[in-house]
Amino acid sequence: MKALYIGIGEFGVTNSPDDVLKTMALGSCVGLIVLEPRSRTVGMAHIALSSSQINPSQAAKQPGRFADTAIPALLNLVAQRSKTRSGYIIKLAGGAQVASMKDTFNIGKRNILAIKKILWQMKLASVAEDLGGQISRTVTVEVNTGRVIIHSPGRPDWSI
Amino acid sequence: MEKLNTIKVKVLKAQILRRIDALPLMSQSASKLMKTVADRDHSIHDIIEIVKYDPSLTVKILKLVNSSAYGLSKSITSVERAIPQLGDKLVFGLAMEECAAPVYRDPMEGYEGESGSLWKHSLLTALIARELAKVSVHKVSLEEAYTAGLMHDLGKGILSQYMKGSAPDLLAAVENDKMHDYREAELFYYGTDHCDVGCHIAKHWALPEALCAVIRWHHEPARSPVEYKSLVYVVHLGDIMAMIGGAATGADALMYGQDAGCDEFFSADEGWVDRAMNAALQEYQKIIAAMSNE
Repeated sequence: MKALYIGIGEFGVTNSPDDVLKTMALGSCVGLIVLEPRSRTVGMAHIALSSSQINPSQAAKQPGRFADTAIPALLNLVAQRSKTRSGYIIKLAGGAQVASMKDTFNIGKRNILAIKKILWQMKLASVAEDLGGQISRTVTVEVNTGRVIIHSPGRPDWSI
Repeated sequence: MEKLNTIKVKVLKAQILRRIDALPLMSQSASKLMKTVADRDHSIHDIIEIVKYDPSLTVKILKLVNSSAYGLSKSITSVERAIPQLGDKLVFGLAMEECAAPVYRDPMEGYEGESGSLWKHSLLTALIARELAKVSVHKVSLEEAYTAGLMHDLGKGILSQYMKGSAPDLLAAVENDKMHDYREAELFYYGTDHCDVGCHIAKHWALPEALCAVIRWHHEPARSPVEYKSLVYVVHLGDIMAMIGGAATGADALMYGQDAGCDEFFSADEGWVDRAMNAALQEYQKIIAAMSNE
């Protein structure tokens, strides 16, 4: 089994059945997972921030970093690999915060809202999600089964 | 899991103190760099003068600057050329990481964290604290914020060694609202916490009082001495932002709260927070990539 690591602000796709896609330690960042079941294509982005307006030149080089550039970029990549633009299953994980967090500093909340709004504008929605809370999440997606497994230190693993 | 009784707490504290006493003293280079970086009038030449007499730090710096993350077309073979590329803060960070290796490189088993996670968390806290110092309502030195961020969690590297297997219980205590945060859970079960242990390390290294205050109070900034309060708030928030930025030390990730007093200490809007996080994360990723390519 080969693990393809998706770092902060990166995105990737695979349809090799033995692969797993993995992204580490999501705090306020959100892992966007797109599965195309017929071709068993799986894509994932590690989105750090809600809007590319804070640094458009960086977004041009690294679209996976911002929600508004990461979502179209990942969907295009999945479409290229799966040869279809429909029938996607979307899952989300991450967007955490700490207790009593003020809105100004609540990057996780802004990320979740931005991602859901962009998906809604594209007439897409997640079918499963594990968002918010005070949880650091490492996300692994098995290409063969489509299972999204979440690991957090000190807790048993769970899946969505 | 049961809390330790009074006798066991005494024994544990004595063991921890012995472990701290056995730590190497802060290296001469790290100690001099800390003082130099804190002086706002220092020049890069002052940093070079300290580093060039430290062969192992020189090797570390040259390996880092010549790693692929820095993308230099020609290799650099002298500290005089390497240090301006890396910057004084990172050079000091490398000196600290080297002399405090037994702390920063602990496997963090007590927190079920990964080896190196304490160093990564400390580095991102330092980078974010430096950004937060820019929007502190009361003046905070950017240099001091960075140094304090680097050192705030030193206690975890030692306490972790005595907390193996405890993470699920401490986590449950916080999640079930029995404890306010993970530090309180440490204190309840072990009679000490990572802030207290960190203070003993700070004394062992004769760190300045301001840094001791940050180490002691970064989870309870409202209780810190008035003369250091702004700095403590900067690191308190930097610590939290580093955790939400994805650099935590293990099971205690995000198991702390933001102090209600933060509003009084910072003048920032959402756009600034996002830009600051982005800038800090970008620098953090570059340093981590360079260090892993060493």
